[in-house]
Amino acid sequence: MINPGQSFFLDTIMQLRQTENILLHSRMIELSPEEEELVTEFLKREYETESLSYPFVAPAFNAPAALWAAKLVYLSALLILYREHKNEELSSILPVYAGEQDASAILSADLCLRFLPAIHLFAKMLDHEDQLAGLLHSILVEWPYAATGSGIEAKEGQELLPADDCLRQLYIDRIIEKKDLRSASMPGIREQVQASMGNYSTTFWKELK
Amino acid sequence: MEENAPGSLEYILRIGQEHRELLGQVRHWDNLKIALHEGAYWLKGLTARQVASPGIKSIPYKEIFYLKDNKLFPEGSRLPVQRMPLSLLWTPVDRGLPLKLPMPNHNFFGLKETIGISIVPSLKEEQAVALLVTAAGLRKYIETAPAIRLKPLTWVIVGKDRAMIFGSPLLPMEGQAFWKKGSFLFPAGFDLEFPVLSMQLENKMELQGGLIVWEKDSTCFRVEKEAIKQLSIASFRRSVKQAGSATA
Repeated sequence: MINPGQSFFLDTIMQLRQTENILLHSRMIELSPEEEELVTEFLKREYETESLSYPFVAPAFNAPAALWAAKLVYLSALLILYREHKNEELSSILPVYAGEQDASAILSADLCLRFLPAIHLFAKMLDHEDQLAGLLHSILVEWPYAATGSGIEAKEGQELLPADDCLRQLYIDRIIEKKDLRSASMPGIREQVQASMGNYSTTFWKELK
Repeated sequence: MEENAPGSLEYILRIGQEHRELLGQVRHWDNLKIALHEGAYWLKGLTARQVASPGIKSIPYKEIFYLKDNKLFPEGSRLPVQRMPLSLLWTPVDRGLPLKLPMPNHNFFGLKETIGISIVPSLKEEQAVALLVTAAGLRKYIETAPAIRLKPLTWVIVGKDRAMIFGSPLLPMEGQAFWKKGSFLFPAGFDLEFPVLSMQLENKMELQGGLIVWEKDSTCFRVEKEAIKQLSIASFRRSVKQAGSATA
């Protein structure tokens, strides 16, 4: 069973998923395998609930990607508050994702990764030249689905329009929801956005031309 | 216009007093004046066009004269037959021929008569606010639907295999569109046979915020307000699973 109070990491992630707030309970950056397992279990359930509202057929849950994103969000929030580490250590505490970035990984990671742009913005506001902000930025560049609407441009030459039907529609939905004009005006994406709104593009999104 | 042209002739109609009823069909022409003289009704102010109209032509026992130098000439004749009688008391025709309304019958107790309530085709153009679709058709659209199209819509399951979608803009799919009047939803192009009854009907049905949906065969069903939910892919998948229907 998953109950609050079992682990600080789990509590923070649950709080984040349920109220979209980050509440830190500890300054320890070491996470035990049991904690990681609990959080993975929790995220799996969250994914099942959320994927009910995904169009087409939702891809399977990708546990390593979901856990990686949860750790990334948790630790980067922790590092903003309690920095007891050298700058060189940062990239080993917050590694980049090692697996393949397919639709399943992108959607599973997005459970927590969607909150990263806000954390990145917060870090940048505290200290513009902070290496942590730079690191988070470089990660977001690789994850355009999570970064939608944050104004962070995707990596040069990256294929933006996903091949997976489910992820593609979700990506277009997010662009419309966040009113991300820059993404919406890109060739390829633009037609998809128009197609999603059909005849009513002026009703839903006046600024889009 | 010939009525207003200067020097145009004025026509006079004379009819026996016993034929008074026959004048009823022209009593709404407000340019006419009427007078009673020596057992005959005199009607003055007729124009040439009115004399030629069916309203006058269809009156029997009448004599038509035209008036010149206060002499009366029968129609088509150049010889006057008599002078216009003087000192006639002219009154507007609708006052000279007052209406007599039938008395209400206080002893009428025909309260058992009823009328059927049905809907009939109507020509009034109305905005569609709801769409009745099959669950199978909705599934086909909704499983691939962009979120933005579902956001402004609410929905409810109807019976075993249909669903009703409310809101605007509606989904681009096949279905019966409905328009709304008060708490009633009518199929597009239809209205109550007696629209004046819609208030009484609504009161009688004790809707308490619910809606009544009329179908083309004049049957209707009730939709409770609480049953209407936000339309989303998750809502559809959960409900259809729950209802255990529309799986085909």
